[in-house]
Amino acid sequence: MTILKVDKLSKHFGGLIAVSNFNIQLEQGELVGLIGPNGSGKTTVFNMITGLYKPTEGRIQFDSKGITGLRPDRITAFGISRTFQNIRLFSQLSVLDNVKVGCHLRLRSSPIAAALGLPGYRREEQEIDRESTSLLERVGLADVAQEEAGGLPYGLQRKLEIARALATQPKLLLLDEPAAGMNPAETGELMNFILKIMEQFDLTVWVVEHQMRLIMGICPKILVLDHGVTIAQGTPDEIQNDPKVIEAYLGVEEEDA
Amino acid sequence: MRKATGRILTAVGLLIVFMLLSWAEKNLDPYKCRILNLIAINAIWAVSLNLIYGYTGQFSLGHAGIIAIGAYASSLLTVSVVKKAKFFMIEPPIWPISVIQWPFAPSLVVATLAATLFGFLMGFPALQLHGDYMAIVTLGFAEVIRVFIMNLYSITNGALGVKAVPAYTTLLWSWGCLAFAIFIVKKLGDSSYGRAFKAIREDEVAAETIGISVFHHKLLAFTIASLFAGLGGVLWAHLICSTDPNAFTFLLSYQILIVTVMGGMGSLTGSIIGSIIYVGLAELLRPLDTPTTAIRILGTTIRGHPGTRMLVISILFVMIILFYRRGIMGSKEFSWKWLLSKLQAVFKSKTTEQEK
Repeated sequence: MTILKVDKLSKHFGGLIAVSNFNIQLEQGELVGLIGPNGSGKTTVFNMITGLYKPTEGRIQFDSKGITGLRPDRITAFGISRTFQNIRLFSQLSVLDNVKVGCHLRLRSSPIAAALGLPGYRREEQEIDRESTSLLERVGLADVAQEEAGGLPYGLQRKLEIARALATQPKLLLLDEPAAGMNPAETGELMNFILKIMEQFDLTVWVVEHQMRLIMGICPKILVLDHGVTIAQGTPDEIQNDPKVIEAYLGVEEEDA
Repeated sequence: MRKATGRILTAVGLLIVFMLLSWAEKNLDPYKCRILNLIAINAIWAVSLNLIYGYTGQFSLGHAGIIAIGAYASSLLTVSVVKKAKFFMIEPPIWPISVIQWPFAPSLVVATLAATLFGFLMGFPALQLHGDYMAIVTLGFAEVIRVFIMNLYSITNGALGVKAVPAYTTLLWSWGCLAFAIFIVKKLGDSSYGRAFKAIREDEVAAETIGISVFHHKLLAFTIASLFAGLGGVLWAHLICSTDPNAFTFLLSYQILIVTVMGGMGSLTGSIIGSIIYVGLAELLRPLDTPTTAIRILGTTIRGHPGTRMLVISILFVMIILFYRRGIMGSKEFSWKWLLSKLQAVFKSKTTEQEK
């Protein structure tokens, strides 16, 4: 079943064409990688899908509903969640509270019920507490639940950001360079972690990444973006041998005159 | 320490405070009562600013305007028909104002709701902006409200102000309203909504992408903050017994900002402490403003001069920002646990001294 369908998506910033004519179709339960040199428009694609940027052209369909140009919080409510290249946690809140914020979009009680502590709200709060605690246990952050998020070591901050995204109960998870700044051992651990949560939470995952080890290691399907244009699409093997990809990454040898 | 013990201690503490207040009402002279009232009213304003600035991270300088709405609405609703006819010298009051004369309680409710409505109307456009731009727009809105008040003679009596406002504000009213404000803001701040407010303060983009409607939550915080600002305004009008447009310049907004930052951003108990210090200092330093006082320093005599008081308070404020950036309480709250541990420490050191 197709979960995400992106049709001829383009984004122009003034005269700069950041992304042009980008197409992708994600099937339920797929794990797809998106690679490309710096400034090739990978994050821009994510920003358009999550509503942070309005696309100049094109359509985005999620779960057969049009979500093009909607507000970010509405898109999240539909079931798309993401992490950021430069970690964006709520640093002064505790680890547990970070995850609890992710449950806020499902809260039904009014602010008045919350301010007066009415029974309906208290039940919901207990539910949020239980859900968040169990989520932290499942991703292995239960030990640091009460600590300030900003004080966590780098690897755990990455993990917490993913946990917070999971708290919104997404169907599609977008990971923007989750392995940035990680050493090979940590990257290996992250790969297993991604595969584990995919299965546990029944997710479709789309990863933007620079680390080839991670992308080639876990993604059966890869797209390559260069200067806003999709230049290749296929399995890791096909991508590695595609002359266009090699040109984009390494440049082309000039012929001797 | 268990949660229930803390609750009992809080209840007992509140009971003692309110018994002391009702004693003070009867036995202290009006000047001292007025200072206690001012402390409570400033604390209500600081709690209100804390919700929008300390919790949600939105820098607003529009409090003076909202307070003016609360103060004027309640004044106009309660001043007697005869006195209104007498004091509105330039233009007679228009229809509903000319015949209305309400008791305090309903007037307090309606005036507070009027301020809340104005807060909503101010927040709606202002909160589309970010950071300093929002601060400037709220500042502008407050000035617009003040200029309207100055010129709508048939409604507000213009620059002459509303005189003979009945003195309804008692210690129980002002401190009771403060307790109510703290209860609501604390409960809301600890709830899921409060977490969403703090998430917006920490990182707006991240908050949006995990499903928080940033604008709606900012507007919610701003509207509730306006409710309490207006409530403080009502109490203030009935304490000072007159409402004058010149009382609601941006200086009032700055004053509230000073109290909030001094007490600690995001700390409600800090707001009370900040208010005690600010109001206390303003009274202690009053001699500096009167030309008859003479202070001898290093052989020279310095005479009091109007305005010196605010200069000294401002210097102190700058010192606090420089050396004690997070204010007196930081973002922490007073807790019984903390007090007991301190008491235990003092007690232990005394017993060890005796043993020696």
